[in-house]
Amino acid sequence: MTSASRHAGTADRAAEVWWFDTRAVTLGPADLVDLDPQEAARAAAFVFPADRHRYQVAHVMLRRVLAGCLGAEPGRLAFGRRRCPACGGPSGKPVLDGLPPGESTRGGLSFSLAHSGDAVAITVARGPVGIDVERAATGCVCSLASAMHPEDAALAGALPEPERHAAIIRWWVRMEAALKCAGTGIAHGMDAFPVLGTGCSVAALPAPGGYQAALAFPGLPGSLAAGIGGG
Amino acid sequence: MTSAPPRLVKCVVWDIDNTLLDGVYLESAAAPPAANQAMAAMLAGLASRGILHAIASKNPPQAAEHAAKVTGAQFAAVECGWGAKSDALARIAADLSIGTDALAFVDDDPYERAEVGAALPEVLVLAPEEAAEAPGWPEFGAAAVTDEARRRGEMYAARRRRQAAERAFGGSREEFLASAGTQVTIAPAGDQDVPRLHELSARTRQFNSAGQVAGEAEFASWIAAPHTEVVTVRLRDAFGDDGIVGACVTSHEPEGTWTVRLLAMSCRAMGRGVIGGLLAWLIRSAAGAGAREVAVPCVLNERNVPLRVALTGAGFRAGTGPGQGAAAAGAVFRRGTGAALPELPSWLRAPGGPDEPIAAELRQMLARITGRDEMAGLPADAPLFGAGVSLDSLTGTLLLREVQRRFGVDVAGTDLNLDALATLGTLASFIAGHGGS
Repeated sequence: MTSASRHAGTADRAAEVWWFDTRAVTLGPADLVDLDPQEAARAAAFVFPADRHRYQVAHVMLRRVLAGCLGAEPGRLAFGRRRCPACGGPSGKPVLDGLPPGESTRGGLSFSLAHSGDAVAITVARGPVGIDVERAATGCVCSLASAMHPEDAALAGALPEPERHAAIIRWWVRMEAALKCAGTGIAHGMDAFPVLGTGCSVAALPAPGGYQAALAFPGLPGSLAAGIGGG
Repeated sequence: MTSAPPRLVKCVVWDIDNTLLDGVYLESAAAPPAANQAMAAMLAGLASRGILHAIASKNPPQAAEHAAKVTGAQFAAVECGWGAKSDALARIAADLSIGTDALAFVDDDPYERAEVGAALPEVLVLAPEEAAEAPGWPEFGAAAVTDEARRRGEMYAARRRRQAAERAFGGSREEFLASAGTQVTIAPAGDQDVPRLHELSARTRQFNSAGQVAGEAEFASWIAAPHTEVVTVRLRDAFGDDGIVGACVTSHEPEGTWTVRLLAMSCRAMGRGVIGGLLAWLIRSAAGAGAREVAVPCVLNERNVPLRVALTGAGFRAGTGPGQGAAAAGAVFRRGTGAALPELPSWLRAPGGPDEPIAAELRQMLARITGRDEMAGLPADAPLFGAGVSLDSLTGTLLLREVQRRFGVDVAGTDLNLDALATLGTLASFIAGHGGS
């Protein structure tokens, strides 16, 4: 696992983050047997090999990371999804399955997975957590301003180019990390409240060059650094 | 048209003993001989130019498996047995749908070389020591520049799997093509396609309307020319992606005739519904544009009979036409657009459908947003999220914002379940159905 690097979480929260560079990972049949039939079917349906590889790396490594944390076999882990807290639909937060009734996570263990470009990020924490990573966009991202809450849009709009582009991506990874932590995801929109109003504390996460990443925990933010203006 | 086509070797048929191997397989079957390193290097070099390899050997099939393993080469056809090698070569050519004049044969045994040379004088017959310098000869072409050429060996391996599946399939050919997930995509050619267009012009015989090879400059000028349409034809199915298998250049003349200046199709597309689909699309497009007829000037030679059969099957009739002097051994195949128009097969994706301009623009948007040129060739039925191309959430949101800006359709606001986002095709239909253009 030479491509992995670990970062400690933020100072007051215990989370661990694993990074993988998909270009450095080669998966053979012996690695892919760990995937369940649903994961294998999804992998098979990709049009482009690079997308398939990224998906396989992300899900094989997620199983290995969690198996390491739990002392379990990677291939025996089962995943499910909680109900969405916003709409009650079946597309809520992905969780480890096969748990006793009432227990939302095994031993309080929670995870979040994100991938973009060649980067895969996995985080594990005792309690809800959300992670997001995005590669710097190749084109203009200004159209995303219309997806933002007016407060966030005003903050971003006040910045000159090219800082505005970086701020918009920074906003995105923070908002998506927060919504993943909450379990609603981005399907219900990202403009209902500003990042500071998500009820999550969000921190920038050191990421590989050309990428931005953020980590979110439940609870009020400790400082304005969780907004989009900070670095 | 710039030059007469040179004779090109498409497949080299190899002997095993003392040719591919440094020794005789049966004499040391317990510890079979290693690969001849010079021949192994040649196999790789020729394969990278898109030249296929095959084996004709008087050995058991295990010898061919051993030769493939130690040389690291892929063999598109294998004939092991005790018959005449000329018969083996004829079977290999038939199996690969190429002419015996596109074969070279390498054998260390002078008797075998003489037998093949006498029975099949059109085959390029070489001793191993001659073969070592043959890659410099014009018969072996230039280094491959197209992805299709580099992947040719792999495509023939897919072809063998497809043929085995078809033999096992109980239904009709059309049912097999549909069940195999056949997708034929006709798309306007761009400058990036020019090397492959030239390659198709130079390498195809059985489905080629022209007597001469069109150069890259000629294709580039056709692409830029007014009233001239150059399209590529892509073919893929569950067994493999054959890439661009066909090219068609059409001039749209003022008097209402669409004239096909060049039609070239790889023999890999034979029997897979491609030529019929292309001709049906041509006729329907001409009719849609108000043209009176489609004319296909076609040389008459013994090799392109399959093309002429396909033209006749699509309702074209041969006659001589203006511009065909006595010097040209050719005929003009014509079909009016007044008669009943042919149906487009369900697996064909082509320009001219109501959603197609939107789909084309969506592909450009996707390529721009993701920075991935390959999105320009995304099939219409590929899922956008989840599997398929798995757009991440940021890219998906950028796409929807761009769609709203460009087409004035708010997909996320209108269709909360986002069914419209299932595939490129459903998104294009949704935009068209909500007034986008």
